[in-house]
Amino acid sequence: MTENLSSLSDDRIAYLEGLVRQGRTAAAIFSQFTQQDVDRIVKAMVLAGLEQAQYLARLAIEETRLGLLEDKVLKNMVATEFVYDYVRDKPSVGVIREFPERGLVEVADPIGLIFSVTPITNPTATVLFKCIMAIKTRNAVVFAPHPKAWRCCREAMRIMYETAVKHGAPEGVFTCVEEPTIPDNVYLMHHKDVRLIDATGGPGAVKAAYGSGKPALGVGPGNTPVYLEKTAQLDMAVVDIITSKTFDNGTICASEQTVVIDDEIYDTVLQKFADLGAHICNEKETAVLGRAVIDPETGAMQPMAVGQKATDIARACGLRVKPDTKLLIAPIQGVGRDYPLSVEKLFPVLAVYRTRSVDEALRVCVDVNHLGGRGHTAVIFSRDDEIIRKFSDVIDAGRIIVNSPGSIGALGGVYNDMVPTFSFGCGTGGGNSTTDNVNLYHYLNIKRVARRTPAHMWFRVPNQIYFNLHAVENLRQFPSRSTVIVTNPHLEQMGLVDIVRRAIPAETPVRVLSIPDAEPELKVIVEGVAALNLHKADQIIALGGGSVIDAAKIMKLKYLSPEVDPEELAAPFLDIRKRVVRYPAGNGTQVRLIAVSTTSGTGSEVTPFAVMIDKERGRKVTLVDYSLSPDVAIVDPQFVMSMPRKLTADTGIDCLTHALEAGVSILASPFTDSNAMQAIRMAFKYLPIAFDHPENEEARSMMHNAACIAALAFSNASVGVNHALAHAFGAHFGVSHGRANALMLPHVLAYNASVPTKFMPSPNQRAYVADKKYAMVADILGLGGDTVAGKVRNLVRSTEELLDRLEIPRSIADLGISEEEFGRAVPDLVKIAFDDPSWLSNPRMPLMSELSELFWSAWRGRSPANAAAEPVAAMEGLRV
Amino acid sequence: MTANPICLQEAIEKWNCAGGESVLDFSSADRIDAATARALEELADRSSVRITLRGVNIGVYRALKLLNLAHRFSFVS
Repeated sequence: MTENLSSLSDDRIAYLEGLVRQGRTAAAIFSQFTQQDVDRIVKAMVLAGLEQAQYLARLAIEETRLGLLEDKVLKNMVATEFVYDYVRDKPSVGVIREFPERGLVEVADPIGLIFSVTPITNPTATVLFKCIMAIKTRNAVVFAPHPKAWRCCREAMRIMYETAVKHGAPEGVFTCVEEPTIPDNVYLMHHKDVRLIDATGGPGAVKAAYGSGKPALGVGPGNTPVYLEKTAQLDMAVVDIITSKTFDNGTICASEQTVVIDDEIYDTVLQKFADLGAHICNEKETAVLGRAVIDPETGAMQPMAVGQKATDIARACGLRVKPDTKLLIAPIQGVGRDYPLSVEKLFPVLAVYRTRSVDEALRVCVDVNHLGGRGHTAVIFSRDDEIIRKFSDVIDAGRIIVNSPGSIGALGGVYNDMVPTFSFGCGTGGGNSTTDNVNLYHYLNIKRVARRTPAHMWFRVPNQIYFNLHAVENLRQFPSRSTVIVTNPHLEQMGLVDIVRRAIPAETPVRVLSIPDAEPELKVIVEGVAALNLHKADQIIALGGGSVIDAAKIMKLKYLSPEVDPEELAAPFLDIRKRVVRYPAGNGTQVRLIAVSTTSGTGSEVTPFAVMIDKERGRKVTLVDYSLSPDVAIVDPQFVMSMPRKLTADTGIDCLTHALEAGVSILASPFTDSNAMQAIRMAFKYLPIAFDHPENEEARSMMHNAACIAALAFSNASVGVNHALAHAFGAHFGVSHGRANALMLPHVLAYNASVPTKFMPSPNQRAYVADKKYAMVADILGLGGDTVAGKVRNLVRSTEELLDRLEIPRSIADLGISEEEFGRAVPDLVKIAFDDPSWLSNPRMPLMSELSELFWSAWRGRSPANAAAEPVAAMEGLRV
Repeated sequence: MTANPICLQEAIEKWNCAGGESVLDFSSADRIDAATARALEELADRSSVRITLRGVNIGVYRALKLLNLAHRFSFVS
């Protein structure tokens, strides 16, 4: 770059600086314009461009000596009328698009000053096109046309500029470098006030644009392969190819370069070309032509041929052709440097290749495509959709034109619905930043205004829940051809299975599958599925606690979808609606799962969760999906009347923890709150009674209901950090789930009620409300307190009193776990707890250090009640 | 309406004679044009006192920022 710039005189630099200053000022002034302003100016410019289309075409021909006057007129008209048709109704100032249902608004901002390089092949049309785009988007442009086309480009720009300014555009909005040189371009490309480089032209200009380090739209050369496949409409194809390849003497870089023709139609096609004015070269003529129009050293086009008529090229090469020859067709046998005519030829010389198969055709097209034309344009003529699809897959082109002319097709808006353009983005294959037809959106900074959108929430529960004493009698209403009761030996011995059997219609064949009383292993599931298959079960009754019901849920899943791998379904996720794995929809077979719970804690009879042990892989597998939820839940207290006191306490605290965590969860909703609050109220009232008086039917019934109601809440709002801690601790030290929850609970209440170190991101939360919701719980329980902090303290204290009443150890140390032993375990417990998805809905995002501190608080077991909520009081005035 | 560069030019001359506090009222200017921008730049170059622009709307303010002129003035509502 330094070398290039050293050739610029001070005067030249001052001149270029003047252009930039004008453009920068104009761009700043332009930023104040309205949509109406720019639309008014654009329309006037388009009309002026149309008016002067022939004049500018003539100037272009005179200066460049390339192309055909008639076609250049058409190009100028496309660049104005067709481009206007595309942009006229498109907003480009301020709000340009709104998506109210997504809370998104797109706002357009101008880019500022654009430095634009324009080509020799389409000089005036490109300038007209870029001027219209710039005004539509409120940008200013410094043009640097090709040195051999700058006069006609300057004139095109002048017409646009004067019309624009006359209709209100800022002075200096367009300027043009007089007699531009490469050092001029380099200087301007690196100028700090140039915001975007739009380089339409040869590879050198495009490479320089990208090399500047500035945002750039660089669009470069092509080498368009055409596959003329045997199913094509041949007459149409031949006319289209001639129309396209001879348009403006082949100067459009999207025009056809090599036509690969199926063997079956090759001779016919060539005859049709000849009939319509093409000269088919023989082998010798092809060799002569190749040597003449392609530089044997560089493999590039000879400038003398570019944009010239076929007859003039033939004459220059010494070929004898008819005076009305439109096109020279040169058969080639391969692609690459040994076949000079297989490269891009911006003149009416077309290579053709005879192919024996579709595979060969595609291979040759890819070879042509990769010989300097990657990312640009390709053409196929075919009526076989599968071949068109294959062609589209393998060809690297921003535009794949089907059954229409390449050059005019690629311009857009004539033969297809692509965006009209005079700049073809060639994607990364062509070293460009886009594959698009460059259009007004590339001249805009589009800002996205994203409004907060609350996530859609849900409340999903089983279809039917039957509760209160003898609710099991409702089994009579469910007809079944074959029922399997999944239970455990202990419950069978207690006679609970018999109670269920009596409630099933007598004619229903019933089998009992007794499984171990523990979290189910994969082996148990497999055996269960085998039993279901053997008996062709259409109804599964899970009678038991969480383990049995979970086992039945997974058995049903595997029974209906044997191919699923539970391990894979257990993949971690952040949001159930966006997770990677999808649960199977089933095979259409209807199998009813009825859950009859025999404990009052897990609520598994209504939850979408199931836990199993994969012993082979040595891990717990937690499945979560609403398809796992039982179809029917039976909440009959007769099945829990004989629960031992310790189990009553542990499962009851599990129920309370579910409700307290669901209540402050970031997924909590009015639907889950109503269940959570009711379950908390019932647990505080009836759990001590059920513990002290196990025979109290009302207390048992209410606690059984409370567990189910809490489960309805946490099935939809999930749980929190208490469960993450309890899962890790309980598994490591073999402590029951409910008891592990109890050891953590007061500490977690205090933790969640204080000011978080880190908040959990949640669109549904408009303030931190965990402490207020705890205060609401305290109010519901009638615990008293004048402030939020005071109420939270009372809730923590009451929870501790409840735990004492239930004779639950109040510290991990009380379980006989020494400080040393616990200290050794804590680092791993923290890691495991942090990997537990339970806390993802916790109101506070726990730091690992905080998890560690919570574990130690639980080990010490000191009362957190006094410490609870002090920080909340300090924050009180800040809350909404 | 667009601010009038001729008025600005007169203002520059008066300031140079008067000295002291300088406040330009832009409250009736919807936008500025290139001539106004040039006049403001010249004003900032030539004035020995800090110039305050009153009532500049956000569109004009943004244009002055894009012109790298905003920092040369004070703004009051």
